[in-house]
Amino acid sequence: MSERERWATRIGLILAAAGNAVGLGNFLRFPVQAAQNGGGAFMIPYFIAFLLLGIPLMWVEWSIGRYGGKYHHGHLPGMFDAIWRNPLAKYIGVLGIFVSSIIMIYYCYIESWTLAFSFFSLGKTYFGLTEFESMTGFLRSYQGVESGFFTSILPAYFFLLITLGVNFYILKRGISKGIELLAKFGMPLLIIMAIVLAIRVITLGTPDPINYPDRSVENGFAFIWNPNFSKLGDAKIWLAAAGQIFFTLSVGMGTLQAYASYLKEKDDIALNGLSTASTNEFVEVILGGSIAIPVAVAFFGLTATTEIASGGAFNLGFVSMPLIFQKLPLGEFFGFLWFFLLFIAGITSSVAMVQPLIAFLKEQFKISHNKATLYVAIGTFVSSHLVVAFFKFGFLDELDYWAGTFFLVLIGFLEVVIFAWIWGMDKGWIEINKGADIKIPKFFYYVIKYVTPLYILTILVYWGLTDAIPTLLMDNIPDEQIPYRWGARAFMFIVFAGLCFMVYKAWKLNKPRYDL
Amino acid sequence: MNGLKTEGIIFLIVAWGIIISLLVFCYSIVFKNRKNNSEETLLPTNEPFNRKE
Repeated sequence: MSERERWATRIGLILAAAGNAVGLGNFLRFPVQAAQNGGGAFMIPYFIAFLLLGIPLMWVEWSIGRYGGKYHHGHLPGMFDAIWRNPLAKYIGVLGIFVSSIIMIYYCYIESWTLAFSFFSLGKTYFGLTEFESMTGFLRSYQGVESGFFTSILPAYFFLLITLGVNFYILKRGISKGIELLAKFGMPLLIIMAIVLAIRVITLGTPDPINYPDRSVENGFAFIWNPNFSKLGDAKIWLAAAGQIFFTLSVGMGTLQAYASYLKEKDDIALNGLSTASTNEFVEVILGGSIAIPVAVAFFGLTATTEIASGGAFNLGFVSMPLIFQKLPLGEFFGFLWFFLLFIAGITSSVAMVQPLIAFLKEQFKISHNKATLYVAIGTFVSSHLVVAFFKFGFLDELDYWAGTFFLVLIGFLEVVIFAWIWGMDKGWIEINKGADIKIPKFFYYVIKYVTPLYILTILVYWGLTDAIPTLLMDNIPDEQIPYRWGARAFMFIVFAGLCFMVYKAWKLNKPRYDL
Repeated sequence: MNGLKTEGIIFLIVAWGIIISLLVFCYSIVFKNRKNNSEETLLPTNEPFNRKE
């Protein structure tokens, strides 16, 4: 069998996988979740979910990926086919390409906002807009939701083109010269920028001690960390913590498996997976938890920050933070750091999202890397127009709910069941420990086999009982958005059906052989 | 809110401590084994997989 691309260095692989996991959610979603769900007490279910859900799924995904790579499969349809050898397996695996491709379509658009806002910060474009309403108007006019500071969608479109161009240029360069090189420079840069910002925030103290003595960084940390034990009895907190672990580690997307497929059969995955998870946690809990919420409390107070947090991550990142930067000396510099940090976090994740589809086209249809990248770039570019054009009608939100939330959990459940119950936990355990640089406690054998599937199943059942019907029927959705959200669902169905057809054709053309 | 309570400080220190310990543990082994891995297991190649054998 022919030679496959490989990672050039081990540290490059770990940083690339960590870059895949570290995204906008580390800096925006985590602190909001922690603050809303019991502060320090949230960390108890958070760490338990990390131990019973995050780390086991990491190892499962790395194992599936490395095993699939042995048969030249860098995509989940092929990996599931190699493991299960059942005609259904490859179609379940389609979810792994589908989810990451759909997320890529809208994630790049959000990523392009961070690039645009880093330029706006340097050029002081939004400086002078000192009220929430005016800054919200600035963001909404940039997004094309309403007219205001920007008279057309062209600036957003321009930055989207640049973002897509940079993403696909990196992907065109391949694994070691593209993705790995980006991670080797991007991840240290991201961590340095985040440390600079965190130090700046921590040293702010109480910005206006005479008029607002309660508005301090310390109270910001208190907002996140002071435990509210009464919330621990609430099942929602446990589910929120499990959800956060799921999303922050980027499990259930098919991307980690794609990265792991470029390992050799006896390369370590136990330590690599753990290193990836711990790097992500460092960026999320220590750095992500020390920037946005503490600084928001220091400048706006607890009540306003609670409202900002409940308004979602975009409010916090793109409205509150620019208002704060205007109040800081060298605010344009810190604004640039913040948004460019988010851009780096975004791009190290987005390049991972299309890797499974590129690998699928290359490996199953035997087309060149450049052609596969070009086809995917064209598909992403064309599809992203739907997101831009119908953003104000909730098109992006609908894609995000299903592809970026629900299906991740579903894939996580399916893959752990296929791994531990269909392939067999004994084989899986041998696979995880093959070439391992650390000895994994046997405790995790039972966790992967029993606890992780039950944990995810609980999340799915809870969703089915509480959210499924209202979400499917679009209760609480404004009437004007409903046709566009149905359009988003139709779009996802077409993409999924198209991918299933491609898998069907691919297996007809090149039926994989496993008699190696 | 009157600043970080003792329990909040404990949670912060414990959480940060766990993460930093895990990070140090992982990377100390990664860097210790880096040479072996790059020499023995990871290839510095970027060859297209479907080239002719």
